[in-house]
Amino acid sequence: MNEFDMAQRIIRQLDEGISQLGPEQAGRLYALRQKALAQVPMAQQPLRFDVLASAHVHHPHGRSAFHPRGHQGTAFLRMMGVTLLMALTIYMLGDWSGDSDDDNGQLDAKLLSSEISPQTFAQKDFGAWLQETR
Amino acid sequence: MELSDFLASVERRALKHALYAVRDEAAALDIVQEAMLKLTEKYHAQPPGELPPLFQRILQNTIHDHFRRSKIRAWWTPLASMFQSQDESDDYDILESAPPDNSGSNASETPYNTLNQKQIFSEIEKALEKLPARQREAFLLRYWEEMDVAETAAIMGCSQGSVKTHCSRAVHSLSVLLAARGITL
Repeated sequence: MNEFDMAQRIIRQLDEGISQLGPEQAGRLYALRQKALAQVPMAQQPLRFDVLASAHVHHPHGRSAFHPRGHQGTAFLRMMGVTLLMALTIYMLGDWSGDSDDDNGQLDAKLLSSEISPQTFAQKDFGAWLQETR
Repeated sequence: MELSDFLASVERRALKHALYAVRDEAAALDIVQEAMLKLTEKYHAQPPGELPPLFQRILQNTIHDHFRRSKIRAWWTPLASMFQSQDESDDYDILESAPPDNSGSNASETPYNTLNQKQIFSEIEKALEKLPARQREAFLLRYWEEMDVAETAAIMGCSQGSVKTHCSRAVHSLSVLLAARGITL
């Protein structure tokens, strides 16, 4: 028997042997594999959502918008959402601060009127002064 | 083939590679884990076709690193070095210490058909463990991992001629060792 044939017979026995590996060792190997795969950056892990799969856009090099660069598409959408939310918040704050000028004027007037005696209002120049200070 | 499929396809053989080399299951599992982590961390984006030689090179390097660390530990513990010294010697010929080949004379006492599959596998594993490290490495890479001579040489960091010599000696030694145990494949 030549070297190659003998080697092949030994290998056949080895292959059959490892196919009957005990469940304990097989379980440990499975755990090791999962741990190793957890190290792979998210970009390399395919998204398995059906919705995304249906929206699969193929890239010339076999990549797509969602796989394996899927996280970039998701991140972009998330960033757009945050930007829109911020813009809306700024707009609403601006609008609210515009209204608050009038509210502050009314408040000042109320505080002022509560501290001034009725006689003061009867004075001649008080009306003009009040208009100037507003 | 995805990375997970690739790892699933090689993990059992990888464990055996490490186990034949270090002869300790916990250490072998650590080696496989380290090799898998290195592959997934640094080479996850490599084309699938490049994964097998890459993984084998990482695995072999990790096994060698294990022996280097053991050597350092053994330096601190002289007692441990007594048990370690034989592991990495590549120059010895296993056939010199092999039992005489009596397969012809007592073949009827230990015929092939009386051994079940598990026993044959166990005997082959024992014979592999007895091989010099470089012979075993060359044999497993060349025949079990189905690497060609050039790939095996690149992984082992030696010439193609050395690979052929290691493989030839390994197969011859295995034949003799198995025959001595009454196993003719």
